Amino acid sequence: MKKLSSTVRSLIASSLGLPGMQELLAQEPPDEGISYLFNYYDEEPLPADKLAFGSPERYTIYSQQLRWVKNLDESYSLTVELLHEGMSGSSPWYVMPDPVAGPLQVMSGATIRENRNQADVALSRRGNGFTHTAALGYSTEDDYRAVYGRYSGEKESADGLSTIAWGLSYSDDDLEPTDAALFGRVESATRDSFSVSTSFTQVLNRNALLQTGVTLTSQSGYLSDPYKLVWVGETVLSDSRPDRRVMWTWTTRFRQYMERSKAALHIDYRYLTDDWSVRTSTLDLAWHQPAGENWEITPALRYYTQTAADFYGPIFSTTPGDGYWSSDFRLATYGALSYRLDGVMRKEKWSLSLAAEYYNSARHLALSGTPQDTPALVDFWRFTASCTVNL
Amino acid sequence: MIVTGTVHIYRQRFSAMGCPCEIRLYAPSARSAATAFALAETEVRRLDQKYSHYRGDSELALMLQAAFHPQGVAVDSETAALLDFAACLHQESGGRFDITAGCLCALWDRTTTVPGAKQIEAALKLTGWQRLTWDGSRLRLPPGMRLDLGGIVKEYAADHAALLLKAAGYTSGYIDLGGDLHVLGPHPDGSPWRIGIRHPRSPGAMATVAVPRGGLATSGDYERCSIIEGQRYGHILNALTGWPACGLASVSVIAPSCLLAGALSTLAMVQETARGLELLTSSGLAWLAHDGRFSFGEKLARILHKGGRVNEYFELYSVRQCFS
Amino acid sequence: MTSIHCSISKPCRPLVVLLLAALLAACAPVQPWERGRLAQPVMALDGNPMLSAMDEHVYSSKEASSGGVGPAGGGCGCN
Repeated sequence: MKKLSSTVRSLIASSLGLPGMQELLAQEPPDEGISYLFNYYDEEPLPADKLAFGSPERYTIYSQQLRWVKNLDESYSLTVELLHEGMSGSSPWYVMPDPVAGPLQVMSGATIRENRNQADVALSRRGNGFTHTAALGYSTEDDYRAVYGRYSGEKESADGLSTIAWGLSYSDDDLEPTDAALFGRVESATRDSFSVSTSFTQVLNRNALLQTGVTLTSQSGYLSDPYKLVWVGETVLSDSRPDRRVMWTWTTRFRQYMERSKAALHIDYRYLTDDWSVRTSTLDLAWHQPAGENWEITPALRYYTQTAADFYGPIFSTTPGDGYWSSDFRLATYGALSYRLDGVMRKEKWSLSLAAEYYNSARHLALSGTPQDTPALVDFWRFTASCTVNL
Repeated sequence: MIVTGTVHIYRQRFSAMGCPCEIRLYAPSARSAATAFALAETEVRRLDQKYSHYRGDSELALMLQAAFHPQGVAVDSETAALLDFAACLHQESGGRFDITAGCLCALWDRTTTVPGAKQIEAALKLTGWQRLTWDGSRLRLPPGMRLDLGGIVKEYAADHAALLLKAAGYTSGYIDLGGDLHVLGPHPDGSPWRIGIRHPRSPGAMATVAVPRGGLATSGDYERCSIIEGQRYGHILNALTGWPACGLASVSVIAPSCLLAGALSTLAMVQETARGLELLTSSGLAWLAHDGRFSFGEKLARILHKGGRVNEYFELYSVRQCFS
Repeated sequence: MTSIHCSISKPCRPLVVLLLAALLAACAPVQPWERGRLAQPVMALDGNPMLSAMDEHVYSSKEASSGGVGPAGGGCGCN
């Protein structure tokens, strides 16, 4: 189904003031088409002064994704997504004390090479201002398998200026760590995750809109990382995390149209808090600038800060009483800044987008909390290319 | 009132807005149909009376008189919404489709001679949306200006009457106001209504389209035109030049509302042929046009879903190859 | 399960109230013909859902946070 031209869209928008027009001009179906995305992710090697032993070369990940959107009829749409990822590189294994240099990171020696495949099918139904979507998905790799389902709905108000949305999702994951017997890892484990969310979007004035939402997620089961160890007292033990985690997330997105430059300022803020004492804040700033007839250039900045989980530590001199310990840098106190530039070209039948990003994480970038030595904090480069063909 | 059970088809013809009108719908009884017809006809006549530029006592005429005052006049919400729509039409047509061209319309209406250049110039001075003041609640017109809402009220009436019928439970039928239709819904068996589009130059239909629901509007240079000394002058005027538009001979558009269909068809008619066809092709709506050659858009050519299930793809049922 | 503290630090509270007040003040009625800007691609809440999903996947496998608006997708053993 072809897209409506801007002339037609303007006519529709201006006739919405007439009684009864809103119900006539029903929700537009999504654009049909095929999209392809390629993502190249490359982590900077671990600095020599932070490495205890092992390979300093960190992850390199190639991801490819294909997405197909088809309108089955005037109410139903189908979306099929396929993803393939190839990962290689060494990962942080455990942190060990060094009397001179302080805690140093031990990296896995062998390069891990792994592939992940994911398939996702979603069906949407539109009518009477409502849109309902149900999806099922499956992700599989050598040591991990996830089966998940998702339902989301939204309702637009009669004047089209507000939208309320809600959703739930459930994921059932199974782990079978590789070389379990060899390294004394758990042979098989399971975890599941349930989340419920709601959001509200409101047009503030002709130039601005705001969306705000809340999500509650509960994870249970084996939440530790089977490939990581922790230096506790005099020995090295397996990463041990609680078998339950409850997270609250509050997200707000603001869009402001800038008259003189015909650009839009995007401000997104997300606050997360959980029962592991993790508190995180994410601020995304982006300036979407149209250039020429078909281009859009977007420089963006992302600032992230998190406070550590209460069972995190690079080294534990004594055994924690509650039985939980982890030196995974992803649970530490730190901050990160990422710089990004996106370019999009939109034509009637197709669009192409390119993005480059540099991400840098460091102790001194944390806004709150007491940062500890975290040798494995990562920096990475990322390049993404995606294209969509409208059918 | 919900219409259930066995239904029969009923037809009503009447005259309003200066053209022949017709309503066909399915109802359980003649009495039920009569109620429906009265409902729709009352609404059409209400709008006819309110916005007629022929009658000196219409609400529009009274409103226009007050609009010449320095503070302007406050308008009701229905008129305000129609003015908002007209503002958009003026902008999207680059000034060619303009409801302030009332003086120009009066000049060309049923004339037997071609108006002189001076007359057209004088009328153009009293035309132009940019000359009036419309802030969303109050309207102020410069002296001498006349509004002609004829280009949008008929389509709006078709939509509005249709919505009233649908709200009353009639979901199968259509209302046709002189070529501007709104289809309430398909036949009870799900099959769409087959509607003929008149050929601009020869009698009979040039094409028949199958429409399951929504609006169908046709603009043509053969309606209410004047043929002076062998030259055809249509009734759709280009408000920039002051002359009748001379591009496409006929444009029909199918859209969820008759107002939208009519707006796009008129927008295409006031442009020159190539630009008009470009507007239609890029619109994303179903359309067909005639300019010496018969053309139709891709959306119109799709075949109905096999199995007879009605969807929004409209079918071009038949085409008569004609050259003029 | 230990209790969750959803605390906005004391010095930030007046700022939050000010922000809410500013937003409410920004609300103005939008006329039908004025909606054109809100429909521009630059104003979209999510202009490229596939790209945003990939971004979210990358960040959540390297940070302790996950999700944003809407329900989560699936899991992966990203480590």
